[in-house]
Amino acid sequence: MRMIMLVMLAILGLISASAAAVAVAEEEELYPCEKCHLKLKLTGMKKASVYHAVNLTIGAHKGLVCADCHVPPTMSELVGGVNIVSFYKGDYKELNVVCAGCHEKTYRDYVNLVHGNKTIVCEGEVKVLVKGYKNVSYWLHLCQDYTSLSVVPAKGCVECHTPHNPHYKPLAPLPPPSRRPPPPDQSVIAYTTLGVIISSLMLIVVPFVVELEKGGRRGR
Amino acid sequence: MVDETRRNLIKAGVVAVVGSAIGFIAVKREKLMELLKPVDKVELLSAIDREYSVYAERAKKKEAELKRWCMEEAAKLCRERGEESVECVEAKRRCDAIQVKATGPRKGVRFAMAIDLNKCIGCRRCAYACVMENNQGRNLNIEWIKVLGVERKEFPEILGSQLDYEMAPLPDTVYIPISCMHCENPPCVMVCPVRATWKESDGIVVVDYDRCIGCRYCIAACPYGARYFNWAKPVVPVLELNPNMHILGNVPRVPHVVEKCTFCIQRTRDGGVPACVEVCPVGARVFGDLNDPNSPIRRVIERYGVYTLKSEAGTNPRLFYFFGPSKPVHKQEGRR
Ligand code: HEC
Ligand code: HEC
Ligand code: HEC
Ligand code: HEC
Repeated sequence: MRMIMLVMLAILGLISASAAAVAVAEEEELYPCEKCHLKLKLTGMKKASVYHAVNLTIGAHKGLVCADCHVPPTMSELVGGVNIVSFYKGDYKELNVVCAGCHEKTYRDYVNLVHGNKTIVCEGEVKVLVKGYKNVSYWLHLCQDYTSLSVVPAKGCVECHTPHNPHYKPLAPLPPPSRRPPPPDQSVIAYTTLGVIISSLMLIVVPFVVELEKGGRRGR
Repeated sequence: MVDETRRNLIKAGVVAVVGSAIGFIAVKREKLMELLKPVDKVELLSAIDREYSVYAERAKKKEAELKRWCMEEAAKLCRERGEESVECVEAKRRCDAIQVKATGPRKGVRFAMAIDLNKCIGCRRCAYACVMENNQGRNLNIEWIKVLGVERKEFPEILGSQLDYEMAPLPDTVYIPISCMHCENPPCVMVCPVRATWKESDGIVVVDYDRCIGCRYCIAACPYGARYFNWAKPVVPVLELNPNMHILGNVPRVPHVVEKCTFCIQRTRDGGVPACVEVCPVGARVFGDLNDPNSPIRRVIERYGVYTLKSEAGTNPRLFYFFGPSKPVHKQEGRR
């Protein structure tokens, strides 16, 4: 059963991945970057590119130029020795070295599980998305064994910070806590308690009385 | 002759001294027994290494019980939706996966959490994840984590904070998530008349749901309002059940007991992080072992320094707040 589910999940993943790839290809076919750049003789000393709609005159990275991160002339290599293809493939964490070069302190925080969010991993793990409390979805970890978990950073830098405008964009809040259902009525509780006490007293007392009655009759 | 007498005298003296010393000790011991009472060895040792054998047994029983309940619910689902439906298959798989653990505290571990108030955007995702992870009754609307929106003014007030804001993050508000503080000095533990709640050696304050009598003294004693009483039987749909359970943590509760955050004991005792830490979209929460010099929490304490809430209550909380290097959300320029 588990195998079937795994296969299904894998297929689903493949479908969504290829769908994403198709969407990018249809848009403008950015990859591989060399396709256009080889003839352009780019230097990367610009602060904005109209073609790519990247503008480094605004945002927290407004002091930088393209070549601070993209290695000219092809631009597909990034500083730190990674290729932008990792982004295309979805290996976002590989791009962390790009940011690590300048944000050394934050990167160390990140490696030490202080910056960025963390996730747990376990053996034979399957993550399922459940729609739960107030229809908010949640990724449930289903493991074969829950007794050996470990913690790793959950996301790469570029998943939270767009490199060209790195401040995090806040998410909308979820609905506020609802009213809790009221506790049972106090008077009901009081009367029930009283009833219970009285009836238990009766249970204790009645046999004695009956005993006495019997004894009395016998005595007479 | 004289020598002989003297020797005899000395002998007699020694015997007398030793004798009275023994008598002295014997008498004193009897007197002492009145003052110092002997301890029952068996009772003492079994209390020290409660060894979780009691809990392991109970966990096993609970697991069987839960599996039975789960299978019944799943059978109901299958009848409704059909044997081959996705829900039916999933429910059965979830029932199989149920595991009730009784993992004890690891030696030399002391857990603590810290929250970066410069990062928190008040989105409440932690509160929701907590409900899902800890098998909270969906009918009771109990959320172990509350996010306070406190206005940034000259004298911020916890009392005047907002719980039910609809818009966040607002520029002039700081968001403070609160839950059980796992105090070093927990008032709730002191007032419990049946010892149903206590602080474990790894710093987690737990509740034994089987021992709790529902008197709610602890709720009155807690300065943070972090404990909740379930007035009815919690209802958890099988398809939303978290199969990873701990007998002192997120095992579905019986009605009329007090419950609260346990630092996700079912995850952290086995090396994980709590669900709120995992789900936080900004990574504002940091969790770790205070005794481990390389742990994230130590890094936060050493680099940024930490603060606590209501420390004047003498509780000595282990849920810290800190102000990380990021600019608070409202001060960031160039927002899109
Ligand atoms: C369809 C053609 C095309 C593709 C594919 C393409 N680019 Fe470009 N790129 C251009 C053009 C045209 C320019 C110069 C005009 C401009 O900057 O607006 C440019 C300029 C740039 C610059 C600015 C450098 C400078 O000195 O002007 C960078 C950085 C860049 N591209 C990165 C990339 C990356 C990274 C990729 C791959 C993901 C890529 N480009 C793929 C057409 C392309
Ligand atoms: C702070 C470093 C940095 C700077 C400066 C920078 N980039 Fe990038 N760029 C990246 C990273 C990292 C990626 C891959 C991750 C991503 O796109 O989110 C990327 C990706 C791209 C892409 C591909 C986007 C895609 O959707 O695949 C283009 C095009 C691009 N950059 C153009 C530029 C241009 C043009 C400039 C200069 C105006 C520039 N970049 C400046 C780091 C930078
Ligand atoms: C060439 C060096 C360089 C690289 C590479 C670089 N940055 Fe930056 N970054 C800067 C500078 C300079 C600033 C502005 C610092 C400031 O405002 O205090 C900055 C600011 C930021 C800020 C806002 C800081 C704040 O104080 O609010 C974030 C977030 C950020 N960068 C994220 C990233 C990410 C993510 C990457 C990797 C894709 C990256 N940076 C790569 C130089 C760099
Ligand atoms: C879970 C999402 C997330 C991830 C992953 C993440 N950050 Fe951040 N980061 C934030 C948030 C939220 C802030 C605070 C708001 C802001 O300044 O944008 C922040 C702030 C920053 C800042 C400002 C100063 C500071 O240290 O707080 C820098 C620099 C930064 N991040 C760099 C990085 C780098 C480099 C990485 C990858 C190694 C990274 N971030 C990964 C969410 C993330």
